[in-house]
Amino acid sequence: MNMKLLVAHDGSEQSDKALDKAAGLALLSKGSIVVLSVVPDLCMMELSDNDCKQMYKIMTEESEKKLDATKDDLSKKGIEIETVVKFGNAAETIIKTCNDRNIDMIVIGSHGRHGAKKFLLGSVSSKVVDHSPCDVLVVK
Amino acid sequence: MNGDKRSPAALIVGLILLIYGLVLKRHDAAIPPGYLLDVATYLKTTKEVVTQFSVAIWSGAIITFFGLWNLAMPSMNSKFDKMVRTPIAGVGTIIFLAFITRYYLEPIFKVWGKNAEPNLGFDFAATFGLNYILLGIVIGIIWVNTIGIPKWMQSGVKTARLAMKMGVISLGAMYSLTELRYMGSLSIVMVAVFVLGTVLFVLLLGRIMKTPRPLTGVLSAGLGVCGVSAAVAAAPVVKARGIDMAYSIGMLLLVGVVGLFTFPTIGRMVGMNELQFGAWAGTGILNSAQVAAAALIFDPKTIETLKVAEIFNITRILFLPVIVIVLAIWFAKGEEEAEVGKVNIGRVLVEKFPIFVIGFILMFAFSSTGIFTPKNYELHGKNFYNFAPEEKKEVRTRDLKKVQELIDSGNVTNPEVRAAVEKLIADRQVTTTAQTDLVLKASDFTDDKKLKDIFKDADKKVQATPPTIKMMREYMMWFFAFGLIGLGMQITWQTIRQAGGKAAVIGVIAGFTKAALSFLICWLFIKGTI
Repeated sequence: MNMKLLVAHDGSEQSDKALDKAAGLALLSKGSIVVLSVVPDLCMMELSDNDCKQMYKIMTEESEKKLDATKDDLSKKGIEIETVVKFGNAAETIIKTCNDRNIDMIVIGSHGRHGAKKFLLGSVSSKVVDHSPCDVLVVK
Repeated sequence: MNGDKRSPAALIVGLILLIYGLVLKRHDAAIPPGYLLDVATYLKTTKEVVTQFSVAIWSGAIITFFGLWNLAMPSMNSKFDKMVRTPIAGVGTIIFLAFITRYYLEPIFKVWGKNAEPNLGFDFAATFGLNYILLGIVIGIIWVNTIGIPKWMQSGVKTARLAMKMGVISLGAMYSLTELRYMGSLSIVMVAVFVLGTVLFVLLLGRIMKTPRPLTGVLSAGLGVCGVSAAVAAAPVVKARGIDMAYSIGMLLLVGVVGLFTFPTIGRMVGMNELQFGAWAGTGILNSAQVAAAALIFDPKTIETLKVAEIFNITRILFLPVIVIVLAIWFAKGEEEAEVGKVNIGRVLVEKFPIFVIGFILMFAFSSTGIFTPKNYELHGKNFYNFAPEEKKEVRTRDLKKVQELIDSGNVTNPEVRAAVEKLIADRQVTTTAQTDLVLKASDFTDDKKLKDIFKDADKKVQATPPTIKMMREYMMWFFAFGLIGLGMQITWQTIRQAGGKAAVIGVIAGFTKAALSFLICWLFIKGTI
């Protein structure tokens, strides 16, 4: 079966682990991976449209660059991989992407960059688990 | 937004406004609508019922029209649909919120403040300035951080930026040349010192705390010039990364919000005048919209504080290209491969020039030709005058006698002032701008408080605002009220929590230092009035 996996990636160690896990699953199932980086939407009233565009551009390029190495690596192993950068609330965007792209399973780190270790699950991952219609694999 | 869906949102909002207006219109009828007038009497807003009615009917009708259109035909991708039809539901909701804050929340806090005064010992509504501007921002903040902005409102909230700019542009009509000259020169000195001072201070702090250079660069622009927009403008020349921008923007928003809420209360407590507070807000508060907000929270009745604050803010924005160039040079110097040649100074100047400033200047130019000022009205200093002879402008005979006694006493030694006062006695009212200045000066020649009041009254009696300007002022206040609710709706915890690490430390140190120093300078050294 060809599983379509969505990895939520924020550059943290946990999200790298999630990506590894997803790669393993994708290999087994001959599936494909969508790597999603959600960048907070910092566009606001103080900023003109051009300012916002400039900010998005810097952030998108950066996120894509970060994932480039992993992308090459996984492509060589024969895994179909696509990277997506989106702006907004992390949990909401992850869930929306899962809906829009007919994802079979979300793979997510237990806590991300802002993850407070005292909680079992980070706020983003627990929100995704609570509200996602897709299956969710939380990598610890 | 709402791509192919036909949204009923705008129609619902439009009808609510329309019904509210119609109910108000029928306020003299006995039952249900009558209650509204009782409420207005209790809240002491009966005088504003006419404005409420006309704004509600007009905005309600327009929004309902677009609401029907939106329901009949799905919104397309044309420019008109994007600019007008899609945002209209959100626009209507914000107008509705402006109604609630201006005509219900502010008055009710006023009543409560008065009621609680005997127990508390102070009027909390007056001390904390719980007026509709502040309440609108607070409602916006609460709304966005609890229920969030629903999709159908999002593009409407974005129009707040345009509304603020429109407000500032129409403000251009409210200045006289003397005022602009005075405030302009004061602001250039203050802003130059504080912008450059803060930028250098932050660069130094960055070096001491060993923060990454891109972060230091972005922070220095944001803290030194005009907040978030300056930070983003400086980002490319210092090669800022996403994380630098996130830290800086979160922190700049946070420091700005703290300033926005504390400045007006402090200003009121120490008894700053309009010029002092306007200068302080325009220098010390980080973001542009927050400057206008603080000035209006401090003084929502007249627009004098706002006028000063905006001049300072505009001067500050004009410094942005200079700072971007300075930072480009600073950054290039520290890099191994010098890339000084890369910054195209001309392009920076053109790209970063704020277009609304042109609108502001044009508006000022228009208004100084006198097109908004009908015959008989003159703009002098900060006030409009109408010297046409009229009975209600005359000084009472009894008061004129007292003035005559002063002249007879020979205490008025200045011959010009003496002549002006004698002319006042002869004409019974002031007849020229030169005379009104001299009559005001006459109070320097007496210690009698009654006489001083008579001179002040003689000046006040000839002051009159032309109807066009009055109307423009009212519309302008709606632009600002609208824009500032939108401002509140963009102060999200999600953004503020981006602030962190060393950026937060630098932000707090530099932001506080700037606010404190500019406070001292404005409070101690700016002595004049407008």
